Amino acid sequence: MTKKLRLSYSLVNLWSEGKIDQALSTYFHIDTGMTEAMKSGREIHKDIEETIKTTKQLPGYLTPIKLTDPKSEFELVVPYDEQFDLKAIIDCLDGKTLYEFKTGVTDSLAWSSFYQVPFYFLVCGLSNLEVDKAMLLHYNQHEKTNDFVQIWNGPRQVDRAKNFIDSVAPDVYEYFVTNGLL
Amino acid sequence: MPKTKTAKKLIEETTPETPKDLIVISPSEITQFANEGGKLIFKKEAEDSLVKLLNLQKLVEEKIDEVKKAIETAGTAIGLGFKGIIGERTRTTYRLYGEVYGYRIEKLEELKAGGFINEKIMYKANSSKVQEYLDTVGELPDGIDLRDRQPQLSISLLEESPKELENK
Repeated sequence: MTKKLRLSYSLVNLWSEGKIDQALSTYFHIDTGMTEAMKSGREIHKDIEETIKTTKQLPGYLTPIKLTDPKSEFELVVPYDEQFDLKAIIDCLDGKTLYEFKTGVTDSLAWSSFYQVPFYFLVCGLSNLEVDKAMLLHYNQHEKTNDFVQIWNGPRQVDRAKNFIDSVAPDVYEYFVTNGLL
Repeated sequence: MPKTKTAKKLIEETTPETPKDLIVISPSEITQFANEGGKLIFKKEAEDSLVKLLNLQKLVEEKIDEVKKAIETAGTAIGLGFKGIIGERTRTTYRLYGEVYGYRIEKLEELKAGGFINEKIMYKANSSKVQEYLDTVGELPDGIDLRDRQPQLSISLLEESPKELENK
Protein backbone atom coordinates (compact mmCIF):
# COMPACT_ATOMS: atom_id res chain seq x y z
CA MET A 1 0.00 0.00 0.00
CA THR A 2 1.29 3.48 -0.87
CA LYS A 3 2.19 5.51 2.16
CA LYS A 4 0.68 8.97 2.21
CA LEU A 5 2.58 12.21 2.66
CA ARG A 6 1.07 14.91 4.85
CA LEU A 7 1.35 18.29 3.17
CA SER A 8 1.18 21.53 5.06
CA TYR A 9 1.12 24.93 3.39
CA SER A 10 4.62 25.67 4.74
CA LEU A 11 6.05 22.48 3.26
CA VAL A 12 4.58 23.10 -0.21
CA ASN A 13 5.41 26.79 -0.16
CA LEU A 14 9.04 26.33 0.89
CA TRP A 15 9.43 23.60 -1.73
CA SER A 16 7.98 25.85 -4.42
CA GLU A 17 10.62 28.45 -3.50
CA GLY A 18 13.39 25.86 -3.79
CA LYS A 19 14.08 25.93 -0.02
CA ILE A 20 14.20 22.16 0.31
CA ASP A 21 16.33 22.01 3.49
CA GLN A 22 13.96 24.39 5.26
CA ALA A 23 10.96 22.44 3.97
CA LEU A 24 12.41 19.18 5.37
CA SER A 25 13.20 20.84 8.71
CA THR A 26 9.61 22.05 8.88
CA TYR A 27 8.26 18.59 8.04
CA PHE A 28 10.45 16.77 10.58
CA HIS A 29 10.15 19.57 13.20
CA ILE A 30 13.91 20.08 13.32
CA ASP A 31 14.93 23.20 15.21
CA THR A 32 17.25 25.20 12.96
CA GLY A 33 17.39 28.27 15.16
CA MET A 34 15.48 31.50 14.80
CA THR A 35 16.24 35.00 13.62
CA GLU A 36 15.26 37.97 15.81
CA ALA A 37 12.33 38.69 13.48
CA MET A 38 11.13 35.08 13.76
CA LYS A 39 11.43 35.19 17.55
CA SER A 40 9.49 38.43 17.77
CA GLY A 41 6.82 37.10 15.40
CA ARG A 42 6.45 33.90 17.39
CA GLU A 43 6.08 35.84 20.66
CA ILE A 44 3.33 38.01 19.20
CA HIS A 45 1.57 34.92 17.81
CA LYS A 46 1.73 33.35 21.24
CA ASP A 47 0.30 36.51 22.80
CA ILE A 48 -2.56 36.59 20.28
CA GLU A 49 -3.30 32.93 20.95
CA GLU A 50 -3.29 33.45 24.73
CA THR A 51 -5.45 36.58 24.51
CA ILE A 52 -8.05 34.75 22.39
CA LYS A 53 -8.05 31.81 24.78
CA THR A 54 -8.49 33.93 27.89
CA THR A 55 -10.66 36.83 26.65
CA LYS A 56 -12.33 35.31 23.56
CA GLN A 57 -11.29 38.53 21.77
CA LEU A 58 -8.38 39.79 19.71
CA PRO A 59 -5.65 41.80 21.42
CA GLY A 60 -5.97 45.56 21.17
CA TYR A 61 -3.09 46.00 18.75
CA LEU A 62 -4.92 44.14 15.96
CA THR A 63 -7.87 45.39 13.86
CA PRO A 64 -10.77 45.72 16.33
CA ILE A 65 -13.02 42.89 15.13
CA LYS A 66 -15.38 41.35 17.68
CA LEU A 67 -15.15 37.57 17.90
CA THR A 68 -18.08 35.37 18.90
CA ASP A 69 -16.84 31.83 19.45
CA PRO A 70 -13.16 31.76 18.52
CA LYS A 71 -11.07 28.61 18.34
CA SER A 72 -7.32 29.26 18.16
CA GLU A 73 -4.77 27.03 16.49
CA PHE A 74 -7.55 25.05 14.86
CA GLU A 75 -5.99 21.95 13.30
CA LEU A 76 -7.42 20.06 10.35
CA VAL A 77 -6.07 17.01 8.49
CA VAL A 78 -7.94 15.72 5.45
CA PRO A 79 -7.27 13.22 2.66
CA TYR A 80 -6.47 14.94 -0.66
CA ASP A 81 -5.80 12.01 -3.00
CA GLU A 82 -4.14 8.58 -2.86
CA GLN A 83 -0.70 10.14 -2.22
CA PHE A 84 -1.41 13.09 0.02
CA ASP A 85 -3.21 14.29 3.11
CA LEU A 86 -3.46 18.02 3.73
CA LYS A 87 -2.84 19.61 7.08
CA ALA A 88 -3.77 23.13 8.16
CA ILE A 89 -3.41 24.86 11.48
CA ILE A 90 -5.68 27.88 11.24
CA ASP A 91 -4.62 30.71 13.58
CA CYS A 92 -8.21 31.30 14.60
CA LEU A 93 -11.59 30.07 13.40
CA ASP A 94 -14.64 32.04 14.46
CA GLY A 95 -17.93 30.87 12.99
CA LYS A 96 -17.56 30.93 9.21
CA THR A 97 -14.54 33.23 9.28
CA LEU A 98 -10.97 32.13 9.46
CA TYR A 99 -8.29 34.49 10.76
CA GLU A 100 -4.65 34.44 9.82
CA PHE A 101 -2.26 36.64 11.79
CA LYS A 102 0.90 38.14 10.37
CA THR A 103 3.62 40.26 11.91
CA GLY A 104 6.63 42.17 10.64
CA VAL A 105 6.97 44.74 7.90
CA THR A 106 5.17 42.92 5.06
CA ASP A 107 1.56 44.14 5.05
CA SER A 108 -1.64 42.12 4.73
CA LEU A 109 -2.08 43.05 1.08
CA ALA A 110 1.27 41.52 0.18
CA TRP A 111 0.45 38.39 2.24
CA SER A 112 -2.86 38.07 0.40
CA SER A 113 -1.08 37.18 -2.83
CA PHE A 114 0.33 33.98 -1.31
CA TYR A 115 -1.48 30.62 -1.49
CA GLN A 116 -1.93 30.18 2.26
CA VAL A 117 -5.53 31.38 2.49
CA PRO A 118 -6.64 29.44 -0.64
CA PHE A 119 -4.88 26.37 0.82
CA TYR A 120 -6.89 26.76 4.04
CA PHE A 121 -10.12 27.29 2.09
CA LEU A 122 -9.43 24.00 0.29
CA VAL A 123 -8.73 22.13 3.52
CA CYS A 124 -11.89 23.54 5.14
CA GLY A 125 -13.92 22.53 2.09
CA LEU A 126 -12.55 18.98 2.14
CA SER A 127 -13.35 18.85 5.88
CA ASN A 128 -16.95 19.92 5.18
CA LEU A 129 -16.32 22.94 7.32
CA GLU A 130 -18.28 25.92 6.09
CA VAL A 131 -16.01 28.94 5.82
CA ASP A 132 -17.12 31.92 3.80
CA LYS A 133 -14.24 34.33 4.26
CA ALA A 134 -10.76 34.90 5.62
CA MET A 135 -9.44 37.94 7.43
CA LEU A 136 -5.70 38.47 7.09
CA LEU A 137 -4.76 40.61 10.07
CA HIS A 138 -1.32 42.13 10.14
CA TYR A 139 0.52 43.84 12.97
CA ASN A 140 3.71 45.75 12.37
CA GLN A 141 5.35 45.60 15.79
CA HIS A 142 8.11 48.04 14.74
CA GLU A 143 5.75 50.85 13.76
CA LYS A 144 2.92 49.72 16.06
CA THR A 145 0.41 49.80 13.21
CA ASN A 146 -2.11 47.26 11.94
CA ASP A 147 -3.89 46.57 8.67
CA PHE A 148 -6.08 43.88 7.18
CA VAL A 149 -7.44 42.36 3.99
CA GLN A 150 -10.67 40.42 3.62
CA ILE A 151 -10.77 37.47 1.18
CA TRP A 152 -14.01 35.78 0.15
CA ASN A 153 -13.98 32.01 -0.24
CA GLY A 154 -15.15 30.50 -3.54
CA PRO A 155 -14.37 27.94 -6.24
CA ARG A 156 -11.68 30.08 -7.86
CA GLN A 157 -9.73 30.40 -4.61
CA VAL A 158 -10.00 26.65 -4.09
CA ASP A 159 -8.82 26.01 -7.67
CA ARG A 160 -5.81 28.25 -7.04
CA ALA A 161 -4.88 26.06 -4.09
CA LYS A 162 -5.35 22.84 -6.06
CA ASN A 163 -3.19 24.10 -8.92
CA PHE A 164 -0.51 25.16 -6.45
CA ILE A 165 -0.49 21.75 -4.72
CA ASP A 166 -0.67 19.76 -7.96
CA SER A 167 2.26 21.65 -9.45
CA VAL A 168 4.58 21.18 -6.46
CA ALA A 169 3.49 18.09 -4.49
CA PRO A 170 4.54 15.35 -6.99
CA ASP A 171 8.18 16.58 -6.74
CA VAL A 172 7.98 16.53 -2.94
CA TYR A 173 6.59 13.00 -3.02
CA GLU A 174 9.25 11.74 -5.39
CA TYR A 175 12.00 13.24 -3.23
CA PHE A 176 10.62 11.63 -0.07
CA VAL A 177 10.29 8.21 -1.74
CA THR A 178 13.70 8.35 -3.46
CA ASN A 179 15.44 9.34 -0.22
CA GLY A 180 13.61 6.80 1.92
CA LEU A 181 11.93 9.52 3.97
CA LEU A 182 8.45 8.08 3.62
CA MET B 1 -49.23 31.59 -18.40
CA PRO B 2 -49.28 35.31 -17.48
CA LYS B 3 -47.07 37.50 -19.57
CA THR B 4 -44.04 38.76 -17.62
CA LYS B 5 -42.92 42.32 -18.17
CA THR B 6 -39.41 42.95 -19.34
CA ALA B 7 -37.19 45.05 -17.07
CA LYS B 8 -37.15 47.73 -19.74
CA LYS B 9 -40.93 47.86 -19.92
CA LEU B 10 -41.20 47.99 -16.14
CA ILE B 11 -38.71 50.83 -15.85
CA GLU B 12 -40.43 52.74 -18.66
CA GLU B 13 -43.73 52.39 -16.81
CA THR B 14 -42.46 53.27 -13.37
CA THR B 15 -40.18 56.13 -14.40
CA PRO B 16 -42.46 59.16 -14.73
CA GLU B 17 -40.23 61.10 -17.07
CA THR B 18 -37.70 59.05 -18.91
CA PRO B 19 -34.97 61.45 -20.06
CA LYS B 20 -34.38 61.27 -23.76
CA ASP B 21 -30.80 60.08 -23.43
CA LEU B 22 -31.32 57.48 -20.70
CA ILE B 23 -31.01 53.83 -21.72
CA VAL B 24 -31.84 50.63 -19.91
CA ILE B 25 -28.74 48.44 -19.81
CA SER B 26 -28.93 45.49 -22.14
CA PRO B 27 -25.86 44.11 -23.91
CA SER B 28 -27.71 43.65 -27.20
CA GLU B 29 -29.05 47.21 -27.06
CA ILE B 30 -25.59 48.55 -26.26
CA THR B 31 -24.22 46.68 -29.27
CA GLN B 32 -27.05 48.10 -31.35
CA PHE B 33 -26.30 51.65 -30.18
CA ALA B 34 -22.61 51.11 -30.91
CA ASN B 35 -23.36 49.84 -34.40
CA GLU B 36 -25.72 52.73 -35.01
CA GLY B 37 -23.31 55.31 -33.55
CA GLY B 38 -20.60 54.12 -35.92
CA LYS B 39 -22.73 55.32 -38.85
CA LEU B 40 -22.38 59.00 -37.86
CA ILE B 41 -20.54 59.84 -41.05
CA PHE B 42 -23.53 58.75 -43.12
CA LYS B 43 -26.48 59.45 -40.82
CA LYS B 44 -26.96 62.56 -38.70
CA GLU B 45 -29.43 60.70 -36.44
CA ALA B 46 -26.71 58.21 -35.50
CA GLU B 47 -25.49 60.87 -33.05
CA ASP B 48 -28.41 60.06 -30.73
CA SER B 49 -27.07 56.52 -30.27
CA LEU B 50 -23.58 57.82 -29.65
CA VAL B 51 -24.86 60.26 -26.99
CA LYS B 52 -26.67 57.40 -25.26
CA LEU B 53 -23.45 55.37 -25.14
CA LEU B 54 -21.41 58.29 -23.80
CA ASN B 55 -24.02 59.00 -21.13
CA LEU B 56 -23.96 55.32 -20.16
CA GLN B 57 -20.15 55.40 -19.90
CA LYS B 58 -20.35 58.48 -17.64
CA LEU B 59 -23.05 56.88 -15.49
CA VAL B 60 -21.11 53.62 -15.10
CA GLU B 61 -17.93 55.50 -14.16
CA GLU B 62 -19.86 57.53 -11.58
CA LYS B 63 -21.46 54.39 -10.14
CA ILE B 64 -18.11 52.60 -9.91
CA ASP B 65 -16.76 55.58 -7.97
CA GLU B 66 -19.75 55.26 -5.63
CA VAL B 67 -18.99 51.54 -5.17
CA LYS B 68 -15.38 52.38 -4.28
CA LYS B 69 -16.56 54.91 -1.69
CA ALA B 70 -19.05 52.42 -0.19
CA ILE B 71 -16.38 49.68 0.06
CA GLU B 72 -13.94 52.12 1.61
CA THR B 73 -16.50 53.29 4.16
CA ALA B 74 -17.45 49.72 5.12
CA GLY B 75 -13.81 48.57 5.21
CA THR B 76 -12.55 51.42 7.35
CA ALA B 77 -15.54 50.95 9.69
CA ILE B 78 -14.01 47.54 10.53
CA GLY B 79 -10.55 48.98 10.99
CA LEU B 80 -8.57 51.98 9.80
CA GLY B 81 -5.89 49.65 8.48
CA PHE B 82 -8.22 48.43 5.71
CA LYS B 83 -6.04 47.42 2.77
CA GLY B 84 -8.62 45.82 0.49
CA ILE B 85 -11.03 43.05 -0.27
CA ILE B 86 -10.44 40.12 -2.59
CA GLY B 87 -13.42 38.37 -4.12
CA GLU B 88 -13.77 35.55 -6.59
CA ARG B 89 -13.52 37.81 -9.61
CA THR B 90 -12.53 41.20 -8.28
CA ARG B 91 -9.71 42.69 -6.29
CA THR B 92 -10.34 46.02 -4.62
CA THR B 93 -7.15 47.33 -3.13
CA TYR B 94 -5.36 50.61 -2.65
CA ARG B 95 -2.68 51.51 -5.14
CA LEU B 96 -0.14 54.25 -4.83
CA TYR B 97 0.76 56.30 -7.86
CA GLY B 98 3.74 58.49 -8.60
CA GLU B 99 7.22 58.69 -7.14
CA VAL B 100 7.84 57.22 -3.67
CA TYR B 101 10.31 59.90 -2.56
CA GLY B 102 10.47 63.61 -3.07
CA TYR B 103 13.06 66.20 -2.06
CA ARG B 104 13.28 69.75 -0.82
CA ILE B 105 14.90 72.13 -3.28
CA GLU B 106 17.03 73.94 -0.63
CA LYS B 107 18.78 70.62 0.09
CA LEU B 108 19.48 69.89 -3.58
CA GLU B 109 23.27 70.30 -3.58
CA GLU B 110 23.65 68.32 -0.36
CA LEU B 111 21.44 65.51 -1.68
CA LYS B 112 23.31 65.47 -5.00
CA ALA B 113 26.63 65.18 -3.16
CA GLY B 114 25.28 62.30 -1.08
CA GLY B 115 24.10 60.50 -4.22
CA PHE B 116 20.45 60.72 -3.14
CA ILE B 117 19.47 62.72 -6.19
CA ASN B 118 20.17 61.87 -9.80
CA GLU B 119 20.52 64.72 -12.20
CA LYS B 120 18.53 64.16 -15.35
CA ILE B 121 19.11 66.46 -18.31
CA MET B 122 16.16 66.66 -20.67
CA TYR B 123 16.34 68.03 -24.20
CA LYS B 124 13.25 69.01 -26.09
CA ALA B 125 12.80 70.49 -29.53
CA ASN B 126 11.83 74.17 -29.33
CA SER B 127 8.64 73.98 -31.44
CA SER B 128 8.18 77.72 -32.02
CA LYS B 129 11.83 78.21 -33.05
CA VAL B 130 11.71 75.19 -35.36
CA GLN B 131 8.44 76.39 -36.89
CA GLU B 132 9.92 79.85 -37.42
CA TYR B 133 12.97 78.32 -39.15
CA LEU B 134 10.73 76.07 -41.27
CA ASP B 135 8.61 79.07 -42.34
CA THR B 136 11.65 81.15 -43.24
CA VAL B 137 14.02 78.59 -44.79
CA GLY B 138 11.47 76.10 -46.07
CA GLU B 139 13.03 73.07 -44.46
CA LEU B 140 13.66 71.66 -40.99
CA PRO B 141 16.93 72.57 -39.24
CA ASP B 142 19.58 69.88 -39.76
CA GLY B 143 19.15 67.30 -36.98
CA ILE B 144 15.46 67.99 -36.38
CA ASP B 145 12.96 65.54 -37.79
CA LEU B 146 9.22 65.29 -37.87
CA ARG B 147 7.82 62.72 -35.46
CA ASP B 148 5.49 60.05 -36.84
CA ARG B 149 2.44 60.79 -34.70
CA GLN B 150 -0.56 58.52 -35.10
CA PRO B 151 -3.82 60.42 -34.72
CA GLN B 152 -6.44 58.73 -32.55
CA LEU B 153 -10.09 59.55 -32.87
CA SER B 154 -11.56 60.83 -29.64
CA ILE B 155 -15.21 61.39 -28.83
CA SER B 156 -16.54 63.78 -26.23
CA LEU B 157 -19.93 65.11 -25.34
CA LEU B 158 -20.41 68.76 -26.17
CA GLU B 159 -21.63 70.49 -23.06
CA GLU B 160 -24.98 72.14 -23.54
CA SER B 161 -25.05 75.87 -22.83
CA PRO B 162 -27.49 77.13 -20.17
CA LYS B 163 -29.40 78.89 -22.97
CA GLU B 164 -29.91 75.58 -24.80
CA LEU B 165 -31.06 73.91 -21.60
CA GLU B 166 -33.57 76.70 -20.99
CA ASN B 167 -35.12 76.13 -24.40
CA LYS B 168 -35.72 72.42 -23.74
